[in-house]
Amino acid sequence: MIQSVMVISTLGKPRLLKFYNFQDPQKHQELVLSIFQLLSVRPEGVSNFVETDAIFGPGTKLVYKHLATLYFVFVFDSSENELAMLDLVQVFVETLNRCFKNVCELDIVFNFNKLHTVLDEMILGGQVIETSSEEIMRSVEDIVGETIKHDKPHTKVDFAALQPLIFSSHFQDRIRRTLPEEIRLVFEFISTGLSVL
Amino acid sequence: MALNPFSSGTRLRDMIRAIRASKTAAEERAVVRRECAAIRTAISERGQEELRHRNMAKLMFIHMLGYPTHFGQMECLKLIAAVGYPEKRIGYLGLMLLLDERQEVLMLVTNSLKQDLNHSSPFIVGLALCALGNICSAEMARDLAPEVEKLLRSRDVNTKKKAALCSVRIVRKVPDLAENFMGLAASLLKEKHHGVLISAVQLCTELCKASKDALEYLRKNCIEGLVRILRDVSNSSYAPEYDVAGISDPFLHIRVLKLMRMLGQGDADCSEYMNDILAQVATKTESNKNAGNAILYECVETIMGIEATSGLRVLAINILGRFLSNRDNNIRYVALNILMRAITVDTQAVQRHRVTILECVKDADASIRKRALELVFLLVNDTNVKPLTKELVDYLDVADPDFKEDLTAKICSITEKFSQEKLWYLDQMFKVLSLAGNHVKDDVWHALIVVISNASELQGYAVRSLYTALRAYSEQGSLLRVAVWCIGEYGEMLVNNVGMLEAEPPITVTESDAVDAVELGFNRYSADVTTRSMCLVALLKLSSRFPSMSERIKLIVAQNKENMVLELQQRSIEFGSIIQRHQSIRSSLLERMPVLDEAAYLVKRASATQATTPAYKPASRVTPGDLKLPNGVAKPAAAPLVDLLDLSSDDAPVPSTSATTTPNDFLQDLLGIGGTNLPTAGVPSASTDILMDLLSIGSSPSQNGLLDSTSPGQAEKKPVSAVPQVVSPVPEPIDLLGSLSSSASSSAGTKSSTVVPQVVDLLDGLSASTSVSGLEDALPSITAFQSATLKIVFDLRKQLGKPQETTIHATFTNLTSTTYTDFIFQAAVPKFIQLRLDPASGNVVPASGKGSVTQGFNVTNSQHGQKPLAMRIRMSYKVNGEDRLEQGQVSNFPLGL
Repeated sequence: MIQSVMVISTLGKPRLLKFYNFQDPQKHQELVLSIFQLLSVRPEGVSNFVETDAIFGPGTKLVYKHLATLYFVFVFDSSENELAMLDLVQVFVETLNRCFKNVCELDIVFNFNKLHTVLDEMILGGQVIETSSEEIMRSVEDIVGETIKHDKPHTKVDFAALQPLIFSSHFQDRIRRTLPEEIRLVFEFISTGLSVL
Repeated sequence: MALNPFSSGTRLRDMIRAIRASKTAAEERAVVRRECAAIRTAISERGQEELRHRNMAKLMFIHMLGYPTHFGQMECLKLIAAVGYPEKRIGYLGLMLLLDERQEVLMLVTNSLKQDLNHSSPFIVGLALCALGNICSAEMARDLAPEVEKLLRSRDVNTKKKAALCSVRIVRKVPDLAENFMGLAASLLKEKHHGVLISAVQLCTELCKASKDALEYLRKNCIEGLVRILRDVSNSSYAPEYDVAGISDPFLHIRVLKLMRMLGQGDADCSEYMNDILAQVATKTESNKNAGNAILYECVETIMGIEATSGLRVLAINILGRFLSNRDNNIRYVALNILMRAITVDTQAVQRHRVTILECVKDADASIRKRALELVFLLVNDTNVKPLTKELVDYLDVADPDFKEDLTAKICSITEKFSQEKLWYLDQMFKVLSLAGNHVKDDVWHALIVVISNASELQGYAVRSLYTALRAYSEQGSLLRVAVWCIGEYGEMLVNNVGMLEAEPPITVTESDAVDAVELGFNRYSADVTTRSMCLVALLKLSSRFPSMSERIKLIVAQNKENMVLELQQRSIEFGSIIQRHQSIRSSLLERMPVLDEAAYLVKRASATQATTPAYKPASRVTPGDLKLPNGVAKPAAAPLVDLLDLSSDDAPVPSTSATTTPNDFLQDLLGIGGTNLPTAGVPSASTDILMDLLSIGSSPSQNGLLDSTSPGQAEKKPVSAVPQVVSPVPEPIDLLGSLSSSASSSAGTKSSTVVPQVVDLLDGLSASTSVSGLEDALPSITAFQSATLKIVFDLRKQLGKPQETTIHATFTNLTSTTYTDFIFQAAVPKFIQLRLDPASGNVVPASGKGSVTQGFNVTNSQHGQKPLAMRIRMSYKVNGEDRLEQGQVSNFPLGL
């Protein structure tokens, strides 16, 4: 299983972070830093694999590609084929290249959500879903097309979608007990609004 | 919209620019803070809904930079519940990034997901599947599995492949659901679309992991399909868009091979079915590109994993050989990886590549070096240890500083594990100390000192070699320590060239040179307190070895009377006064250290390193024979044997039983280890204990019952009933024979003429044993301690169903003719054992065994099965008002307590 996909700049800034196993958001920056420290000292021409047992747990490795000012990093566990992962990084980069016509760091910085869309068409829940960059591009273009078609923003919230859950008192109690204050207030707001209706 | 660039009206692009333009971290934080404030306001105000999805995009960026964004979670839910596709899209993206399966908010989304999974637009279904596949929790998996199942039957390929991967996550979260998916998964393998096939194969793999039934089902139903897929993919190039470097869809290849490995593992029929196609893939795939090698790599793994024919295995090993000689670092790296695994399957085949692997240890690439070193470590055996070690030691000289530590640890480990002769071991260790002494771990040089201390005929050689090495490599910390220790102990051997070996070059060292060496070491700026203390001790010892140097040493020692380090200051003052004022006792005080107990050290070290270094194989180094040093000096006979059993004592387990008891313990232990030589051991000078032990070792339940039958009550009334041998040693030999013979009744018969009480006892025991054994697990009693004055017997009981717990009933018997008063028994156990002492039956032990004190206690071994029970005991009592103290170590507990 792929544990994480990261794009890190050669200055150590995260450009894309995606974790398929839960990682505490507060730890994200530490992870980026420790990976960056691993990669930045590696000379040219050495193998693309680094063991990351200390960072992501036993048996994990990362494969990276250093292109221009970016490191493309895939972290995966022992059930994946290392060489195939290397090819997968290649597929990812190729797809981005098609997407942005000679991709550069700036494209990635400003379009990070598009990157996520590309990634979601390639990897789902840590498993490879599609390996042909052409297919991936086609899906992404369809999605973008679909988005533009509906570009006039719909602001109406479909309350019906939230309704049944909110009305069951069991859920309400549980939410009140467990939610952080801010979210709870929003929730109270919605549910009282609904009961008035 | 507001014009302020930092109001919520800023576009995402502008925010990113502002963040990028920040020159300091503080500036960046300020930008983020303002943005977050604006977003919060927008969330709470009405009328800002159209900004929602822009705000969410910003939050995602802020989240990536590592700032808290939890306040946006509810916005995600609202966006997902929105009607439009763009909102939903950003909402789901946010959901996957900002939320995770552990948050309670997530259950609010279940319903939205359910609706979207049933949506008419395939795009929206795709979004929902993607989100579900990434963050689904066990609860959601149960709720939404039917929807996903339905989508697996969809006609849209995009939906189908996403649904398949979504099912992977669902099955992983709730393995019970595997059976619902197995039929669908098998039928998906008939698809043509590569994306669907890859997803389906992954789903099948996950199902095999999740459930045995699914594994069996798939073995029956999809092996043909898999072989067909593999054949199609490898024969044709009908899908140019999946072509990677001239190889058709390597990813699909790899996934199929992986699934085949799962199906073929331990199933000969399946494996046989695959043989042909595997051979075809292994021979036909081109290996000049990464993609081809990836397939070959997976193919080799599969061949190693299944019940392949030997021809196929040979093919696989040959492919590995080619990999190893490849120029590409990545390929070599993975080759080393599989060889690590292949070593368990076929060691011989891997040995053939030893030379190449050894070259990889010297590679410029750290990943490869590390792997290769681990592999070499696994390859070492008795025949190749010398050349391999030589190569590694030679390389140590030029190795990367970062790599030296790993390398040193492995070399030390190898030399200790495989040293056939001491001289070779010492030589290798001296080389390692000279070249990388700063990387040698403490336990390694401690072990070296122990070995030197035991090798009396090599001590001279050792001290001279170390002295020579020290002159050349004085900067190596642990070399200095070992050398200084040896000079202190064996200084005169250094000066007088005692015990020269044949090939050893003679050196001339004066007494003053030896003192110089230690003084230099003391004054090295890099020497720490431990080294300096060792130097001081060595100087003190030299002052006795070389009386002529005494004055000079006194001066050197005196220099430290004002040392800032308290330890050194104190030692210096003490040593100064020994040299100056206590000439009379000096020589006896500063005699050589007694020979260090090798076995005890190994045991201690094994228990200390057990937790930290898993690759260390602590179990194998427990026995002294493991250090394979045949020319070790004779040791005090009994001690190591006692310690052998004491696998777990935390302190240095020098047995403190008094000297008179040693022979008994020794024999007892011999017997305790294994009862095969019972008759011979029992015959010659059998003391009472041995006989008793003989009885207790016997494995037949009736004998156990005999010794266990002594209930606490009985013991008080008839104190020696558990140990009748003490009172009347005469009948014992017969008793011995009786219990050795198989039939209990006949033994009773032969004895009845000679002694009455014992027979009664025996019969009592037999009848009692049946009733007792139902409740408690009967175990033999042991003599835990015996000296000329005191004897302690432990009756052991085990509660059924509680293997960790042992109830011990101790009986204390006074062997002298004076009554003991104020008797107190204390016991100490290692940390992993818990001990609970009950109060004793009294504190007066009557003289001449005319009664005894009993005390019960309970021990719980938390590492039951891994470490045996061990205990130290201490008995204090008064004889005619005089305090007496005895202590000992109980290490003859039966195995498995």
